[in-house]
Amino acid sequence: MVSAMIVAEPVRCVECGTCTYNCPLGVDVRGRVRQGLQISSSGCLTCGECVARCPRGVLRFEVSPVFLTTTRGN
Amino acid sequence: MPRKYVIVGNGPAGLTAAESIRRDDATADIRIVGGENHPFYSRPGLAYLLTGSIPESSLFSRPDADYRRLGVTRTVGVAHRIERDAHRLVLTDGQVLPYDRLLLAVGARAVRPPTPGMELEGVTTFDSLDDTRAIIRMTRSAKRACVVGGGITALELAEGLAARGVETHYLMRGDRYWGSVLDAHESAVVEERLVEDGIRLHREVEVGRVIGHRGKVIAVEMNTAEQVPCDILAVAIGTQPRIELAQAAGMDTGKGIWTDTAFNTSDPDIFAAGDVAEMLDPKTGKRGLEALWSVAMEHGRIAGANMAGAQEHYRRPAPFNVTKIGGVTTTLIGAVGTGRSEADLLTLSRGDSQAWREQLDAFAVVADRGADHLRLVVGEDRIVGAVVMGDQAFSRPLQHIIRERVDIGWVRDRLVAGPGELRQGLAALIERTGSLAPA
Ligand SMILES: Cc1cc2nc3c(=O)[nH]c(=O)nc-3n(C[C@H](O)[C@H](O)[C@H](O)COP(=O)(O)OP(=O)(O)OC[C@H]3O[C@@H](n4cnc5c(N)ncnc54)[C@H](O)[C@@H]3O)c2cc1C
Repeated sequence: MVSAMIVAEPVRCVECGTCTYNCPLGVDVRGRVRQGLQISSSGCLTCGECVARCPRGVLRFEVSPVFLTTTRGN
Repeated sequence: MPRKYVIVGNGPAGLTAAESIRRDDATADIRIVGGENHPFYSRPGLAYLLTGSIPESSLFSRPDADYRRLGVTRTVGVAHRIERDAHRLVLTDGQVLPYDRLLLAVGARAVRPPTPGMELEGVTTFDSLDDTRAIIRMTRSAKRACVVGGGITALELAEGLAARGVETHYLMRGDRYWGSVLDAHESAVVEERLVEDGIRLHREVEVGRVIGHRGKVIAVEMNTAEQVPCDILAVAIGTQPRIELAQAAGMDTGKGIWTDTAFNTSDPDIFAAGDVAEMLDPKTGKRGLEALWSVAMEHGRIAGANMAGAQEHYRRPAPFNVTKIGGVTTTLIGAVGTGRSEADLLTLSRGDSQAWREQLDAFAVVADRGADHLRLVVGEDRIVGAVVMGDQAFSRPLQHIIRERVDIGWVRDRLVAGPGELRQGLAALIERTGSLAPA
């Protein structure tokens, strides 16, 4: 079950490509950030490589709505 | 007839302007002229190419297909002259490009000091992909390098050279790293990390001359008469907006090309944006430069819209930069300057903002926890600046609180009561502000 998702703050991004380069699934994280597309809908496994390696703090984990709904018992 | 837009400079300001023009003018004829023979690339990313963390191919964030989709023609060429009366731009190869609206987004170049020997082979700046390729090539045979300058670029050079196995000496004019922006503790944290990386620091020294042999640098002589043998001398003492085109065309220029907050220049059909724009702030009556990627994009967005007929104004938010300095993730937001004069930079450096050095009526409070460091610059009723090193939990909310000038009247006493109270007071402020809520 997906318990967290990766969200971005594009204004911090300098397009260096470190995230995309380190994604084990080959997701174009940088491209998605720039276009305002959700990273979670790309097949992202939330392994966190991009979050850990981004030198600019663009990416972070956030508890996903799916998880919130489940924990609330709905 | 479609309107002809010509943009000089294929950097973030130029490209974002093209996107903006296309949004507002579907039939526009848009051409970007760029002097570098590369597709669009991430200039800040050059630092990670130099350390070897990413391959060169990673830097190219906008493939040519993006330009085609946008309907923008990209020409590699160097603009040589603006003929304002005829509304024509002449390139060095003789091409003549007529325009209705022209944007100068030509950026800034690294300054070279007038020190004797600066023309020798092995002396380099860190401006472009070509510079970076040349540095990487040199590190294959170089044994030793000297770095002079300050700010983030000098550090990135020192770290990159050291990461490539070159014995690196960092020569500082000041007594500590970036003393005009960082406080003594922050400088010490960075310096410690540099020493751990094997970088040798020399304080309060100045380069007297660069010594060469057969046209190549072999040593740097300091004002102390001491010599440091080296095969590379990397210089990052500041940047200088490229104003020559505008100046030769008789436009108003100072340190940069003068603009208002709508990016108009002294010529009604010519706009300027990005690192080259020296904008008049109507509130303070002062002109200012910035050298930040995100600022260049925002400049470009607004300049492009205005070229296509809009009337938007740039609202200068508290500038920020988040980057690794000495391996420590660091965010600088707003007015964080220490009031000390700048020792190692002649002008603004890359990833830098004049606004960081503004002296407002405010004072600093600091809280440290292990390797994590937080400095807030607290004014009368708002936080005017912050430095966040290490743990970045406060960085995003602070960016919001400072940019939006959130009122801190009710919690100010706690914020300034001392290190113990600072983090808790800030947490209370953040909770009240709701700025931790997901966007
Ligand atoms: C090593 C390095 C590290 C950096 N680190 C950071 C950082 O940490 N954070 C941050 O926010 N910013 C950083 N920056 C700064 C950031 O890259 C710039 O602020 C930004 O690129 C400015 O964008 P611009 O579009 O104004 O100009 P530029 O990106 O400089 O683009 C201008 C372009 O115009 C071209 N040009 C100039 N004259 C002509 C001519 N006559 N004809 C045709 N073309 C011409 C140039 O070749 C260049 O390609 C860094 C820059 C460097 C070099």
